[in-house]
Amino acid sequence: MKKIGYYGFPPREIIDYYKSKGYEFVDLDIDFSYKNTEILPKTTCQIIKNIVTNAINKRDEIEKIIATTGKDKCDNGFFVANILKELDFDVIFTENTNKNRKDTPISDSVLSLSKKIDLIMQGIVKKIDTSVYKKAYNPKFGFWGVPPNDFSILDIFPDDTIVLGWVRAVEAEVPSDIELEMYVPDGLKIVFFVQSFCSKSILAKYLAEKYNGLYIDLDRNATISIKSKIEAFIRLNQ
Amino acid sequence: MIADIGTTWTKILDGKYYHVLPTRQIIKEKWFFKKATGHLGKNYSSFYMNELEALARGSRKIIKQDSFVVVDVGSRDIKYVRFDNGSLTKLDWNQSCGATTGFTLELLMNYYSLSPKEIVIKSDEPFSPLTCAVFGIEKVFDLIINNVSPEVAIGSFINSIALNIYEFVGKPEKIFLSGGMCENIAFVKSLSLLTEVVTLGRFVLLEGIR
Repeated sequence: MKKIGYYGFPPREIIDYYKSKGYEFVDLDIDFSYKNTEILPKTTCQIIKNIVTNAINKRDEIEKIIATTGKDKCDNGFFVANILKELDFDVIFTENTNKNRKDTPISDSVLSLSKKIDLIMQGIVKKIDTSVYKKAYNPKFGFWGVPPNDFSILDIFPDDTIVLGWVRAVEAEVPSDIELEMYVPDGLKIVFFVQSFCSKSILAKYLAEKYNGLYIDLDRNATISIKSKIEAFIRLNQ
Repeated sequence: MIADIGTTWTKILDGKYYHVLPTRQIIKEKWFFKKATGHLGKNYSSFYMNELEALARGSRKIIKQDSFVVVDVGSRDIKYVRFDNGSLTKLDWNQSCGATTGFTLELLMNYYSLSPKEIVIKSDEPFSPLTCAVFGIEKVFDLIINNVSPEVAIGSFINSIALNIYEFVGKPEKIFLSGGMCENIAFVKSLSLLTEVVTLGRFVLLEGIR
């Protein structure tokens, strides 16, 4: 089967077009445990490193790469799209500017946080049946941010943790909707997460201060202190 | 018996009695505790609580106030929690840089065979932040090369560590200090130049798991 790489949340019509052409999609944001390429500086967000590392390691598998290059991703998404083009990949430059918000049943459901985020990200390229998931009625905690490179931190959260930030915007199909990304409901204790060296740290730090949340950043793998901070934050606020 | 098993020292509560033993002895003799916290606590106990939570719970028991900031300065890390009106509002744990920790200081003082009471803390010089422990040590060496005594040079280094910690915990008007650095009078004096300091001693985390 033909494979096409993508990163971020490309416009729905572009995904549908390549689906109709029979392509299998490969999410290049995910850490497939390859050794990081030396092309990018060490002080680069791990997700961006993943994109380039995965592309190079999967060069023989993928025919094209759908790159998200606008506010729906980040400046580095734009820069690496150009680097990949320089490296002779067939890059399709896109920007998802959709502003029509859909509901967010997975973000608001009772389900393990890692499963929630995984389903939402899978939802970019496949239809997810959300009718089976129960709504969380009295959530105490929220997770704000992007899918972490290391999902193990998500296991610390209770199942009724609400998903906020960019991941919620992805489920709503509006990855460039900054208002939704910055939306924080009242009464929740929230962990504001970013990948180290990601420009979203500006938002995360600001919001964490504003809402008395916990600001967390991690690079490739979560350290003991990162996990302990989240664990203490949750246990002491329960 | 319960224990706070830190990187260098293990604090033990056995009934009513407190003990401090080198952690290397705990490892060598394979001690096992009913409850433990600390860096190595998971491997040597049947119940484990992480240090940050133990600090929060212990300080809540000891400090009879609803709003306070407590910071624990250990050999390899610092951690703090802040309570406002009885609710936890901030917590953080810095484990990745030695610029704020006791280990770097201990290393320097041992190197020059100095005790805390021999260190000169100057209140009339501006405190400058320390971006990195290695750079800080280099600065100490530079001062000594330029005929500044080790007592004064290390005092200046301590002022920088104190400033880092003060800024890390959000510059409160009062700090409750936990951990081994409570026993370092040079450090306590330095931190006291920036804010009011109340020392709690080395057993706050044990109180948290008690």
